[in-house]
Amino acid sequence: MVSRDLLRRVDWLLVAAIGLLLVIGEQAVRAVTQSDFLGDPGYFVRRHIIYIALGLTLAAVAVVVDPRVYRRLFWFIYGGTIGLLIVVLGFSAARGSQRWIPLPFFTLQPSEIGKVAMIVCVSVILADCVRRGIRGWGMVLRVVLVMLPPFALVFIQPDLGTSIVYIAIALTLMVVAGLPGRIVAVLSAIGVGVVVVVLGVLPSIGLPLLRPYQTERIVAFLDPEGGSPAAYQAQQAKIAIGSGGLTGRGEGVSQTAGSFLPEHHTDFVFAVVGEDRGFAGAAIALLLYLFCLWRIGRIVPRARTLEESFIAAGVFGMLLTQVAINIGMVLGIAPTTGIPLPFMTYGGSNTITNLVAMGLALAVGARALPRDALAPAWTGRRGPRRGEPGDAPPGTA
Amino acid sequence: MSAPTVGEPTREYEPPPPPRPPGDGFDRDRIGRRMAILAAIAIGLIAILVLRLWSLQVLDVQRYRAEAVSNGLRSIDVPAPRGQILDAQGKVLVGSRPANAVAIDPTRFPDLLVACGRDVAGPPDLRDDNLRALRIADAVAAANALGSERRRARLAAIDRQITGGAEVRAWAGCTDDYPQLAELARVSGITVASMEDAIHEAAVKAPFDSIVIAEDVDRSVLFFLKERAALYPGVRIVEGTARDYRTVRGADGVRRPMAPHLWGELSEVSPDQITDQVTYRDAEPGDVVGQRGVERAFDRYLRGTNGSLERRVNAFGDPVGPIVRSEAAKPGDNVRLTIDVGVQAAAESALRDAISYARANGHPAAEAGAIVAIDPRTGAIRAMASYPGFDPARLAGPDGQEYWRRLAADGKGSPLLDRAMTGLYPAGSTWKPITAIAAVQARQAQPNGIIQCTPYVDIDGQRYRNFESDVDEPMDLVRALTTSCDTYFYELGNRLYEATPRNGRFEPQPLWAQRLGMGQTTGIDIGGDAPGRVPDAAYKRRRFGDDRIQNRWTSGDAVLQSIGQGDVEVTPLQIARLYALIANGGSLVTPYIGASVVGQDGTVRETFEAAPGERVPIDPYVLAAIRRGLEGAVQDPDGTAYAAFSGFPIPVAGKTGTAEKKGKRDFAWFAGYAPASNPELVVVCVIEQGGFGGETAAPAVRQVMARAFGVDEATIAQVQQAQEAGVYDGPALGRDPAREAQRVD
Repeated sequence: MVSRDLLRRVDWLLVAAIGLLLVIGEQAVRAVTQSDFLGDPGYFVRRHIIYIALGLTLAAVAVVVDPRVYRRLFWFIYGGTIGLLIVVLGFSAARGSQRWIPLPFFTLQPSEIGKVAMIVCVSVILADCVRRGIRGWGMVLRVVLVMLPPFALVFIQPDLGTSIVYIAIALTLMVVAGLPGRIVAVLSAIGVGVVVVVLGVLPSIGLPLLRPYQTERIVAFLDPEGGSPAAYQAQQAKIAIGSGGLTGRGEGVSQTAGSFLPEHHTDFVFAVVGEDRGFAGAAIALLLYLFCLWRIGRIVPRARTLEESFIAAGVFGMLLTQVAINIGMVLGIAPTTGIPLPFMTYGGSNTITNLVAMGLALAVGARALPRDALAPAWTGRRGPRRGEPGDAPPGTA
Repeated sequence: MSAPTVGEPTREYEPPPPPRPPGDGFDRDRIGRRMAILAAIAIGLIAILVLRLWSLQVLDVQRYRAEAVSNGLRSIDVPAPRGQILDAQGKVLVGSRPANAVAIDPTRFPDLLVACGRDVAGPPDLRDDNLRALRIADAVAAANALGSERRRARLAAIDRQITGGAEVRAWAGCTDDYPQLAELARVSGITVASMEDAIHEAAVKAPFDSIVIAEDVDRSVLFFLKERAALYPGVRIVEGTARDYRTVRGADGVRRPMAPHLWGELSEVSPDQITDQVTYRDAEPGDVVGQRGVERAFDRYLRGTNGSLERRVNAFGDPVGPIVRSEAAKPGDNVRLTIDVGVQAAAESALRDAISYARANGHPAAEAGAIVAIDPRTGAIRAMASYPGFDPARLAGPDGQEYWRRLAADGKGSPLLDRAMTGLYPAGSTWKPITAIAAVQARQAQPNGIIQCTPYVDIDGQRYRNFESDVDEPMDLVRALTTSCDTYFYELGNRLYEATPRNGRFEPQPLWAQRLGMGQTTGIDIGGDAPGRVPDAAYKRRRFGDDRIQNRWTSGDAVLQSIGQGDVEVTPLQIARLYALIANGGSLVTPYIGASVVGQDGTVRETFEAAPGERVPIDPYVLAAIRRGLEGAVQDPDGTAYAAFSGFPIPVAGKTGTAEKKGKRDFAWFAGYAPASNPELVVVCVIEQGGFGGETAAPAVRQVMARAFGVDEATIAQVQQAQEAGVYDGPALGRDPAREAQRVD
């Protein structure tokens, strides 16, 4: 049985915020998929709700499981993820990339599961580094060694968006783990350099590393009126969002429901929220994400163990990256990449993955030290400073 | 919630231990500070997003909302039902009925337009055979890019096109990747090739509209597709109207469309046509307009004004909401013609009868002909028939293109040709009144002047034979017309030639022919008639250029022209106009077919007055002599058409013609009018390769006149008996008193 104590310590505010976001997403998917599947207006939303239920169930399991287990399951998790990522390459390509494994009830996207798996694995590695006093380049080397195989497998699918999320997770975790600022700066410089080389130098010497559609999306971002299909999608999203106004146009209006925006229930679902609910609804959704980030971030310094702290930080990084890039893309300030919006985008793998990630964060939070156990500026409450009088050991105060 | 099955914990929850002493590396302060940096980044990013949201949704809302609204509202034209075409009595000749077309939405078939739009864009001045070579090369290149099996099939098809001399369609097979389209073509009853042609045309012209692949499909097709809408995504039914053509049952029991040549086909207005704001007044892009004939001439009345519906649609153009705004279509007005259904039907059956008679009586090559019936007083056309005909409904139907190709390829019959207006024939003896008028007006002959009619005459060393070889009789003009003596007119032709300056510039015969309407269009209101040809000195120079021997106007030209031969080309309509002039005493009328415009409520909106006839200055006694000659041809027992009109209770005047055309059998003509004393109707008939005019064409004219004047066969038989018994006392039988009264004013 689950103890009352655990249930009491679960961050119900975070749960409520996630629940609200799920409801907003479900409404959006319901509103725009009425006519997407001939003869069955409820086809997509019914499946969406099933995925949510499945995700919530798995998230609950994640809350109950003691996160310390994951250290012992490291090789199982890591090996399993690599295995799935290799298996997926054997299946036929859809829309130009091999991302999905067809299962009887839905198609599994291993790169999504890989996000959570990488959070857990990198957290374990980083905890070891910190314990053994390895900072600096040694830490970077170890993280790169762990991340490279899954990253490479995702990149060659190709799935540029998810690979970016992987990098963001790793970077977030290293920053939290105390990677010196100058190394962060060097890594950022390398990142910028890679982007320049891949986009600028390699194509000009006849070595295009990106697929044509990826280049086209970047071109479309830089030249939104250019008339390419990717630019069309981005332009239609902007029109949808912009037409929403302050309070929205209500459900079933033309732009998103009328399929002018083809990916209306998947990567561009936020455009539906923007059009139907207006600035009010979209801003509330954004603030709910910020609220979730705060509730996750606040437990990072108070986690029971280093691993748990890093897991929470990884979930934070993953959520922030996905929200920022996806909504940035919908609003036309980031290039089009296939990154789903957590809790809203229709789809089994990403819904379940994000909810399980939230389950992990909740599990860490439920086992964290009480708020008054330490006194960082972080919590917003001024406790006794370290070394000052009144610095009592936690739990005894 | 059940306990987890994995791993260690026997207790799901363990109270947190006290913080570890420094040394295990868990520096909470440091992590907290790092986390604070990340939190700041998060707040910054979300703030940027909120600001961007504000800018899009609050600052720029007007612009984007306008775009979204125009995105989602679509105005759909509701085509106006086209007005009906009525006959003189108001009977419907061409009606309108609901019709449905099958269309596809190209956006539902990715890459279809690219595949079907392919063609070789050669420079505009590229010669056809070069363009064809380019097309072949392009089609072969496209085929080579395919998999082996399809490549072989495609190359074989190209080979067939090349050897068959057909157009090389670079887009052939562009629907191969869409099995549902092949199925759709099968269901709609069209060929895949014609579907591909339609898609190709749309891809080149207007790639974003839905593409009509089959027009006016059967209702069963409609129901089939509607029931299985889910199986045919991207397929639409476009509702519209189609023409319903009057048919008439012949004596053989077969229903045939009436006067198919008169109407002209309907199709979408072209950019050039839109600029013609007289014919196509107020036409807008996408409107369906008449391309020829009555439909074109009266398009501005028949077309009506399209209505419109504005409704919400999704990106595929499927309606998703109620109608926002609607404006009813205003149906077109009806146009009443001068055509009389009864006379027209009689003309058509008379043509068929005449041709089958000719074929059965030694003229097996007879297979085409035309009849024109006009009112000599006004030029109103009562009937205009051309044989063979075709089915205009089928031409507009799903297999129309195929049908058209077949009709156009029918070299012998050329069913699409309107022989009444555009058929060009040697005039033969029907021309003789022109020669007579020219000779008398040029003071080279007098109607009562006597010329010996002989089996032949020799002029300038050339022998010209008379049609009738057993004759030697002095004749005046009346007698010459009655018996159709060729040598009499040869002599007139030669006199005219002798009297003309050698350069032939003022050759009276061609001059008078032109004054009498030959060699020029008639000005008929529906247009499209052929001008024909009157050879003169200028024509000879044009035709033979610098050849000093051939390019001169010679006595031979004048002599041959005197009997309507020698490169003379006339249309039956022109001959009808000539005989109308003879019948009405010298006025050249302008034939017309449109009588009035009648609104849908029955009110007459506009009446087309007959253009006043052009008076041609001809001495009345010449016309009087010609009229007596024509009466003789029908009523005198020596007349060439006496047998054909024997017993006809109304006095008829007319002229037979048996025209010769190189490489063909004789063309049979008859042109006449009735009643002879006060003509109301001119009827002209020509039967291609039909033999003697009096034998083949004159009975056809009699059939038409019998119908027009309400004479039945029983009356004719009665009169015949009375004539034989010598008790017939004048042409009074079978007359309608009402008509008689009309005739007075």
